[in-house]
Amino acid sequence: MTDRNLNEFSDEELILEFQTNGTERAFEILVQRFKNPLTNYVYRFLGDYDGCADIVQDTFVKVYRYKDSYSSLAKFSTWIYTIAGNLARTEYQRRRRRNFFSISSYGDEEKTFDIPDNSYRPDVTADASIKNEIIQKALLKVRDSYREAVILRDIQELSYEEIAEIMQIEVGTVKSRINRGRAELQKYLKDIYYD
Amino acid sequence: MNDEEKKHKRLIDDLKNLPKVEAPKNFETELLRKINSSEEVKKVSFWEKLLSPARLAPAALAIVSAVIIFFVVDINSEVMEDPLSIAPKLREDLAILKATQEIPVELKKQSVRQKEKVESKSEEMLSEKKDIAPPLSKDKGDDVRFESETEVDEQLVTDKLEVGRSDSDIYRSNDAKSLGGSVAPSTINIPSAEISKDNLNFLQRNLSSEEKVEVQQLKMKVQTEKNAKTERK
Repeated sequence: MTDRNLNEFSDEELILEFQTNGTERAFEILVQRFKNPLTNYVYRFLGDYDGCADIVQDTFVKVYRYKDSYSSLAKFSTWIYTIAGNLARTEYQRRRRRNFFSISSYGDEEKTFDIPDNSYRPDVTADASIKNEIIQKALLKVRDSYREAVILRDIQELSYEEIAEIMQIEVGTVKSRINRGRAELQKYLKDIYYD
Repeated sequence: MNDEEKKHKRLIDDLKNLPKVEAPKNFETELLRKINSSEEVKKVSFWEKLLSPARLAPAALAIVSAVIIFFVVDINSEVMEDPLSIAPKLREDLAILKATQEIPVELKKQSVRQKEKVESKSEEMLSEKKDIAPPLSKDKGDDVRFESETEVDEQLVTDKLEVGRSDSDIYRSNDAKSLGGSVAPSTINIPSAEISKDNLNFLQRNLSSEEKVEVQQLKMKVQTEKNAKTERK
């Protein structure tokens, strides 16, 4: 089978080829297709680039080792997003446990603290890169279940149905989480969206 | 676009326009290294993991200690040995006395039957002597009968004693065994004079009115004969 042919394959056809014939090239193509979207998704969730690269690599290692557990009934993208999401969530919780005595964990666990930072003043946020950084920091303050839904919908631009499948929840719950996540994010970014 | 999306339109646009983070350059190389290293790790089956000495030894230790605690400590056991409920050791002499009192009923019956036999025989002999013997020799015959009766009674008592003795010996030996051999066997040293007729537990027989009359007549005869003898003397 030539490279050109494999590149024309859908995700599901590629994983099927890798499952049945053990074609390593099919797996490599899948890695090329999903490494950047997954890196983006995990980075937005964790906020740490080195950590997100490890998690995405672990995701592909799992796909490689447990390729037979994939069922052709599901979309490959939702399957791989579910694996990456689970790994990211586990890592996030591990880090939170590690920083148990950090300032953010004092008092109510769900409550987050707004640390005054003068660099976030509206007159300073003109620069796009700083704005992006502010958004990313605000995103990390949002509750993790809301954050995941917002990232998958507004950054990864997946459908509600795909998000429901990845997060293994109902579509209605997905919508509700997205709305709450957005509202929370808007609250943290009130300095930018002051009008 | 629904109302919620309109409300957060700027935020959603900003989120969409966030720069896309890309994987590092050496992503594939690192991934390949990770895959190879994960393949090198020997796949150990569940049962191999479970039965490995590292897991088996602590489990075995825990089981053994649990068993020891269960059998040695036995905290929940309500069956505790009450020292007051333990039967005390029997004294040797009491054990022997008890054994002598417990003579089997069958033996008692046998002795009663023998007695009855002897009585009936003596009665027959008495009636024969009545018919044959002259009035003078009647006294003598009665004496003989009386003597023979007393002899028979004595014989019965001695028989009974012997039976009792042999039985008590058996029981004593059994008791000695049941006491775990702690009681040493010994001979019975009970003098025959101490044993009365009442203690031998003879069968109390209710006589009919005819028999009572007969016994009364015999007693009268014996009494008159005794009186005659004393007068003669």
